Amino acid sequence: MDKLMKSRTFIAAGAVLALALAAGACGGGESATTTTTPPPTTRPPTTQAETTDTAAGSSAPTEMDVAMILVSVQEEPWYATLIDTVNRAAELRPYGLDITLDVLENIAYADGERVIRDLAASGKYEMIIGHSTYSDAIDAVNEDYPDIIFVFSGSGNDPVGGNAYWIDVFIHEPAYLAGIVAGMMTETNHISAVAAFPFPNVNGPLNAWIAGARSVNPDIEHSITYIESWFDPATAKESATAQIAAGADMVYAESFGVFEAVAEAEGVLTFGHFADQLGFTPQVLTSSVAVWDPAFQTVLDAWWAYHTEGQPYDAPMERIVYLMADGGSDIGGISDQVPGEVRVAVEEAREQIINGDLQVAFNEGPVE
Amino acid sequence: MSAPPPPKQSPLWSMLMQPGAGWRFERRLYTGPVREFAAVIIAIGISVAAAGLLVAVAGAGVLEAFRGMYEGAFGTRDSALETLVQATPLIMTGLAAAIAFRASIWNIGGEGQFYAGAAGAWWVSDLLADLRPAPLLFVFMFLGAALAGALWASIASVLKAVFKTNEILTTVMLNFVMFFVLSWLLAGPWRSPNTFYYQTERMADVTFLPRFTTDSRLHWGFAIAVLTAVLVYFILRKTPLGYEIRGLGANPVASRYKGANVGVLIITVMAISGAVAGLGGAGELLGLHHRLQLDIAVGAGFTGIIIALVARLHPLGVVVAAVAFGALINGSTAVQVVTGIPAALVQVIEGMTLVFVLLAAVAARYRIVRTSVSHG
Repeated sequence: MDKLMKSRTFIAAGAVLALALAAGACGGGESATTTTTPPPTTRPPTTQAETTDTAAGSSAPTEMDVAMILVSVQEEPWYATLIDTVNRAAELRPYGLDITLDVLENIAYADGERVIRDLAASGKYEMIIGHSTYSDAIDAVNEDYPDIIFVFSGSGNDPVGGNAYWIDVFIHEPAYLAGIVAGMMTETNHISAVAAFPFPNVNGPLNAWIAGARSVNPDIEHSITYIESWFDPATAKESATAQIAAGADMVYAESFGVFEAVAEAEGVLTFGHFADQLGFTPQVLTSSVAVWDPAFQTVLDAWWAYHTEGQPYDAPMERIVYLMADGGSDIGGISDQVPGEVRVAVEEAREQIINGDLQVAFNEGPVE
Repeated sequence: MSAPPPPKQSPLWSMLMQPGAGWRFERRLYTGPVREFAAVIIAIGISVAAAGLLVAVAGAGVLEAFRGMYEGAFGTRDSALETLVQATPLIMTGLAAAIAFRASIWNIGGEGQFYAGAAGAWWVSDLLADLRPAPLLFVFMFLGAALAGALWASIASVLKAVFKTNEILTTVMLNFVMFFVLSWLLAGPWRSPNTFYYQTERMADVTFLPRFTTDSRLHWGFAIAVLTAVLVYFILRKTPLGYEIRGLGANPVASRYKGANVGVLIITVMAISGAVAGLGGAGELLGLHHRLQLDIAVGAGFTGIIIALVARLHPLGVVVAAVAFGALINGSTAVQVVTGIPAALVQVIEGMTLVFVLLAAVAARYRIVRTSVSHG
């Protein structure tokens, strides 16, 4: 009898499992656009890449295999932009290198050390990128593999140094340019943004976006909603719908879900964030785009110098980040709905930023 | 010998049970440990075969994938030790589930209790940062973890004991509540002042659980987990409390008539279950991560449920199953590097193993007998 009852217990336990697994699935999905930082005060010197073959001896490496681990999935702009950068490098073949990329998705921070160690131990990779807050994990592994170059990105990291490089992107300057478009094109003088968390790297572009709009239209009012999640399109959509109902006609989409709200509304336009999202919905006017290429190139240069000239790895203790003048960010494609005079204003401001005449503040404080 | 009474009829059943069909299923009166064990082994075999099929469908070499998995999990001394590292939290969450399930209390809140324990340990480490000697600090950190896990589980158990709420729903929902409580703590009062990310500061070295070797990550949490398994086995088998737990699981009505205070028992069982899960959280925090973050569990609370079921709720079986699942996790990266198959394959294998084990458990309770034609 006891046996029978136990079996019944056991079967019933199985039945509850579906629920448990479903809950687990819901609980997952931490996304990781976790870039929250103080503004960059200094930048490491740019090492200009030579994209042609160099006269490094016959022992020079001919290939570079890159492994990249992500907290979430590769479609998310934070990840997708760096993946695009590596793929671009693979086409450009810097130093004549054959570059390959393997991407591992959904690696929790807590799992980072194990996975990074396994990747290093496989002997297959010359560069291992923990594309988020993996500095603890890399710090635990990097010294055991002195020939491999390690990379981690964004905020929440601690500097590691040696063969572990910290890279980042800031997009407040293109956000300022997008703000000019919003300021000139708004009819209600009410612009809004839906964003994840009130983190500095979220606030930076938002403040700049509003500053850009104010620079051409002093009457601008704004409303900001933080949805307290890195990925929650339903809440983002609701928030944007509420802002639109309150009179906003320009909505900055820091979070996924805004485009859906805009698509259902009349006469409302929107702006993409991080990746070039022109065409995601017809109402997208332009985007603030992150470009990882110069930071990636800096790391690649260090790797090349190590292997061809024996120059030791010496990663700076500050993040490697490039502003728009150095190609670290840019405004994305501009929609045909944007009138010529607005385009001219954007282009002028862009040139002023690039030649240093216009300084866009990286204001990480709360959006006011 | 008379034939056993005919079971309830369903169309499929009737078809199978047709007089003159030649064969039919018949329920065993007693399954026996050998058959139950064999059923689990066969189920695991089928799971492995099914996983191989998936690998083949994905276009990779099956043998290559399995070899990669083995190499990644046990190929070297380092990888074998890392497998035990991966098994450590799973042993604890598996035990937490097994204890509660033995009493037919469906604690699906292992994940939340795991986090509660980690948070409790961190809080104590912060409050008593200057407490020495270090062993005393460890005692208090683990006590804090057990207490936090038990308290978190008690929300569901008190509701169940007093209001008869369904603990499946409450424990599942409390996982989310814990997540948001923790994200509030990590966004505000506990956040490291050096970062804007949701995490505490890195903990002081004195709070690090010692490691067994200098070159691996295997920490004392593993020993604690194995000892806990032995202790749970002892409690369930040899103590009056264990008898009451098993009695409650087998027949709560009989337990009540026997004079057991079912409400108190429910709260006790959940407290033990939550405490074990919480200790698991503390082990991970103090042994590996040294910093409280929102993702230190990596689903251990949920995987623990599968492990408990695959182990047929046997505490020592939980250790074995947890090591097997730890090996799967640890080997998964190697499989991905070698074959390009995403490491998510492991979750598929975990799920399939569970399904096959459950099916095998049912199948083991039946036997196929030849019907005599004269029966009708």
